[in-house]
Order: sequence, then C-alpha cells, then structure tokens
Amino acid sequence: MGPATLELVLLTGFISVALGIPIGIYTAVKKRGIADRVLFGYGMLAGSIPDFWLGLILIFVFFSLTGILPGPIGQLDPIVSTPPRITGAIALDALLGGHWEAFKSAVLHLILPVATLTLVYMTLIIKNTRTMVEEMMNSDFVQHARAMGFKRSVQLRYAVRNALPPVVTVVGIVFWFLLGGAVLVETVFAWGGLGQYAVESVISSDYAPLQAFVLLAAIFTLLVFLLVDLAYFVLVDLAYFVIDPRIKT
Amino acid sequence: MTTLIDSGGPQSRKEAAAAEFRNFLAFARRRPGFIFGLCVVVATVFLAICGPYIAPYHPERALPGAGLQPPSAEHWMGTDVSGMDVFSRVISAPRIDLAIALSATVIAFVGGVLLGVVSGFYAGARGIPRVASEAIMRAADILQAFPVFIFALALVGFRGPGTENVIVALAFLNIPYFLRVTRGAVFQVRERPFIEAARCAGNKEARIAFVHVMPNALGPALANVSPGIGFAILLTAALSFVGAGVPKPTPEWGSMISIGAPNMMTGQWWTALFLGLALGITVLGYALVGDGIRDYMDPVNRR
Repeated sequence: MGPATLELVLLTGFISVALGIPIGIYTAVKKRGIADRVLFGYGMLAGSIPDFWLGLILIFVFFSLTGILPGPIGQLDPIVSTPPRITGAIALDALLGGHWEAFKSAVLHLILPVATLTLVYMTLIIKNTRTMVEEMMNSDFVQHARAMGFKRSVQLRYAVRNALPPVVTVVGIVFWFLLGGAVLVETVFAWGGLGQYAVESVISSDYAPLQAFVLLAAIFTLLVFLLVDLAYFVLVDLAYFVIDPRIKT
Repeated sequence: MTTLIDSGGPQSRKEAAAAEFRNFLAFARRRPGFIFGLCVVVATVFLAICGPYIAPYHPERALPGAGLQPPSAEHWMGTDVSGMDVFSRVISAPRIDLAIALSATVIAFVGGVLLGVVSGFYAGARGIPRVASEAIMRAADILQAFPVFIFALALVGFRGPGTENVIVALAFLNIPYFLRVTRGAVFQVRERPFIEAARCAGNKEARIAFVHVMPNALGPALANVSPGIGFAILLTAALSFVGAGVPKPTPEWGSMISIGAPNMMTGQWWTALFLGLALGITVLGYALVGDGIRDYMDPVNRR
C-alpha cells in the first residue's frame, strides 16, 4: 500500500514543481497580464476549495459526464491483470515489466487523483516563486545588472538563481501537505493506499494501523525536511564554496 | 479657526472612535476582497443563528419518495439520495460548522497566547523559566512534525468520532500557530522602553509578562483568528467527509459531501456541488477578512 501512496505523492510533487516554478517565474515577469489575473483568482480559490470536493467534481466532469477517463475504482481497471510486483507502484511495475495494457490503464487512473492534488497544492509553489523572483528583480544586485545594461534575460537569470533556495523550502512544505491531502484523495478515488487504510482503521477503531501510519507520516516529514536541508546545502553552501574565492582554499 | 485648535487638542474618546471608524471605512472601500469576506462572515453568523428556522424543509427529515430530484422551484438545490432537501441542509450547516470552528479557535487562541507569552518572555531567562520556555517550543515542534490532516485524523481516531472530539483535536492542532506568532510579538514588545519602566517601578516579572507585555503582543494572534476559523471549518469538513467527524444525519458540509459522493459518479451533480461551493466561499471569506485585518493593523500596507 505504501508504494501506491508514494506514487501519488511523488508524481504530484514533481508535476507541481515542473509546472509551478515556470508559471511563478512567468507571472513575476509579466505582471498585470491576463495570465496574472487568472492565476491570482486560481490562487485564491485553490487555498480554500476542499481537495476531496474538487476530486468529486473532476470525477463528475471527466467520468460521469464525458466518460473520457476511468471512474474512481482504484489504480487499475478490474479486467486488466495486475503486473507482477517489482516496486509496488503499479504504473511503474507495468512500465518496467513491459505490460503496456496495464501501463495504459494505470496511467489513465492516475490522471484524476494527481490532477486534483496538483490543482490544490501547486498554488503554494507558484505564489512563492512569484514573490521571491519579484523580490530578487528589485534587489540591489539585479538593479546593478540593469544599470550595467545587461539584457533582461540575464537579469532574470540572476534573479531566478537567487530566488530558488527559498522555493526549495516551500517545495518541502508542499510534499508535507501532500501526504495529508493524499489521505482524502485516496478515499475519494478508492485508491487502496496507506491513507485509505488509515481512514478505514479510524472508522473501525482499529488503533494499531493508525499508530503505524502516524509514525510513518512523521518519518516521511523528517525525510522531506532532511532532503530540503540537503538541497539547501548543495544549492547555497556548496555554490558559495565554488564561487567565493575567500572560502576556496 | 476652531477646527485648527480642536485638532491640536486632546480628542474625546468618542471623536477618536469616530475617526478610527472613518479610517476603517476608507480602508475597506479600497479592498473589495475584504468587503466580500465581511459579507461572508456576517452571512455565516446569520445562518448559524437562524439557518434551521428559515430553511424551507426540515434539514434532517427525509421526504418519502423524493430522493435524488434535480434542482427545481420546489427544491432549489435538489434532494439527496434519501430525499433530504439540499438547500435546507446547506443553510443549516453553518450552525454546527461554525460552532466547532469557533470554539476550537478560541481555545487554541487562549492556550496559544498564554504559552506564547511564557515562552517568549522567558526565552532569555535562567533556571526553571528558561527550561519551561524551551519545553514549550520543543512540544510545539513535535506537534507540528505531523502533517496537519493526519494529526487531526489520529487525534479524533484515538478519542473516537464525535463533535467534542473534533473540537479538542482542532484546538490542540492550532495552538502551535498562535503560540509562534505571539512569541514573535513578545520578542519585540519586551524590548520596548515601557517594559523597562515597568521593571524599574518594581513590578514582578510575571506581572510584567501578563499585564504589560501580553496586551501589547495580541495583534498578530488576533489577526490569525479569522483565517484560523476558516481553516478549522475546512478541517472539520474533511474529517466529517471521511467519517471521523460529525456523525451522519447532522447537516454538516463535509459529511453531506460524503453522502453525495456516490451520486456524483452516477451524474447527480447537485448532491455535492453546492455544498463544496458553500464550503469554499466560507473558507475564502474568512481568509480574506484575516488578510484585511492584518493589512489594516500594518500602517505600511494600509494604503
């Protein structure tokens, strides 16, 4: 069950980073455009809309109304045979084992839950990237670059490079939130992961699985923030070692 | 010329209040989001008090043979699977949702502020007060090490589903937030000259902390009350959605969405759509009021 939940959390996290950071940079540069207004509205809504409800709306639109995507029945169509277990994450197992039918089915089932979580949690990354890049564009060193007559793309590169370290922290926080969000989204999509297991154990007053899940969540949190610290070290401290001649011996 | 003399002299309390109120109106006029938020707050409070009385149908009574009807003149938002009128249930829900969120937030506010003053005021002290201050912060760290919803789920899980247990869990969960903002404010206030003056006048440390520092360090915590309520409503709904919160027939947005969930898959969209909208608008409104209050208290952002 663990890999099913991790699959959901990691995939959403990576997509949120891959989409959220470029969108954040874009809106920081193109202020007062239509995209900026749309994103402002989206940011406001995403913070207050319940993720489990958004999942239901997506199910209604893409499953019951149009029938484009499979319904909330777990990770695989019942008629497709489960690929042999390698990692436990079904889409990955199917890909590694070359079971294309299972892979296609698994990916189709992943779209809605991942879209739900991404829509709700990506906004944190967009907002923070935007604020940090804006701040850096107004900072002394970018103003200096501007005064020196550097191109706008070079100024932006300076700004983004310095804006990224704080964004790494926010990415960590998003992963931390995602585990909680996954619990709800798994329940909606009958995902059969750890979160759904924890919810079922709460309802049936079965304490041992709940304890195990809380412990796992704490370990996950520790790991995430350890990784954030590591990324910080690589991005900031190591970069100083390379750039700053006073530290380089 | 009398106006000139008046503006220089001491204002009466009434005049000062009137001026503050005009200031506030001018501030609110420039912020449509803040006005929207205030409207939402007023509406939810109104519905919490009289929602069940103005509802066209009884919110917990199923109409026989009227299950899953689409929205019509008779049932503005349709009926759910057992034939309960969705509109009546939507406007009856703030009573329980707001009661849970408000009591949880108030408990968290009081607990968080008291602990925040202790931990902030004694942070640089020696001996037992310092140990207490450190212990409070480490306890808060531990509480915040768990993802929010999972922690809430676990707390409710160990105490069993039910309204009181949701309140306890949410209050417990929110204490660290109020604690941290208050601690930060205390750090600033305790360096101000009037605290030194209070000390020179011979006040005891504990008296300084709670009589002189605390009232001046309440601002950030107060600004967090409104978004805290919104957040608590969202968590209550999430807990009830998975079946760990308010028990079923009671009108509560989250548990009603879970009743409508199976029908969403077969195409009866009205069973969950309006509930989520009501929930989202409420949470957004409370967050906007919080933003507005924070900006209003910060002279730089007031313009």
